[in-house]
Amino acid sequence: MKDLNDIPKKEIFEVPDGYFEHLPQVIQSRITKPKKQERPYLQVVVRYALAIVIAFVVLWLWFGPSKQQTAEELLAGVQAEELIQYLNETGVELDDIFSSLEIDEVEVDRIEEEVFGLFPEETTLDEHILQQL
Amino acid sequence: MLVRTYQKRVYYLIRKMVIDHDDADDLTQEVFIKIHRHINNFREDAQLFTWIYRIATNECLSFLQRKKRRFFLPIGDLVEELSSKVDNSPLVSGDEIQKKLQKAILQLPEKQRLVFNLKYFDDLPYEQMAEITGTSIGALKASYHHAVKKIEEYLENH
Repeated sequence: MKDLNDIPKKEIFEVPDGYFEHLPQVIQSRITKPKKQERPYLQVVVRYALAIVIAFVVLWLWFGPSKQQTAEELLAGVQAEELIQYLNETGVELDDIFSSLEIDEVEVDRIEEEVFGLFPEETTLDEHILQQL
Repeated sequence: MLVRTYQKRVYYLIRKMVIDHDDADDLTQEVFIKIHRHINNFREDAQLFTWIYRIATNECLSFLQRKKRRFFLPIGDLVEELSSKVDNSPLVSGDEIQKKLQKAILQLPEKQRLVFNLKYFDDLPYEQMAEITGTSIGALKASYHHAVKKIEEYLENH
């Protein structure tokens, strides 16, 4: 079969029984149905509550603590006097602390200068600690 | 009244394009709902029938595009799916040669398929087809001519 004219034109697509009788009613009901149903009260409340929670989380993330502080940063915020008092109370020797730290001589000199600068020039750190006892 | 007058022509135009009854049903309803919404925009100088057909053809072509995009279907897969519906749907009758003709039509690009259906099954004049599709009469004649050639080739080889 090659020629299109040899094929009889016939509608081969069928519809369920009564389809065209009911279709106008179906379309009419869709046209007259209100576009938007009234939203239930609870749904509105949940929607607004969710929006508030999200806004709160965003604000907290934006203005809240920016990041976790490191041990060095925490220690830097402690006053030298408080550190000395702590060392006195716990009985930890300064030599023990220095021996556990991996710092060079330049750093030790800087620390010493910083610490001794707190006290009268003639007073050494050890003397100052002894005075506190 | 409008629905009762045009429902069969609109439905069968859509059905030949989408093959599946449920899809054709959805689209037919959408077409008449759109007609109802935009009836005030209808220009008196355009034939009502032409205007309705234009809405229906646009709905069909948009639906087929959406279907391909949604399921990431290549053209070949969509043709295969629709051909399978021609063979297996309980709402498709006809003998073997008529089903083969439908499958041959499905091989055409969508717009050419639309042109072929409007001319071959609905027997619309080219002037009306030009108004519906927004294509020149010359282009429509060429498109239909090529469509017939491709279909006859398919019928000969399958």
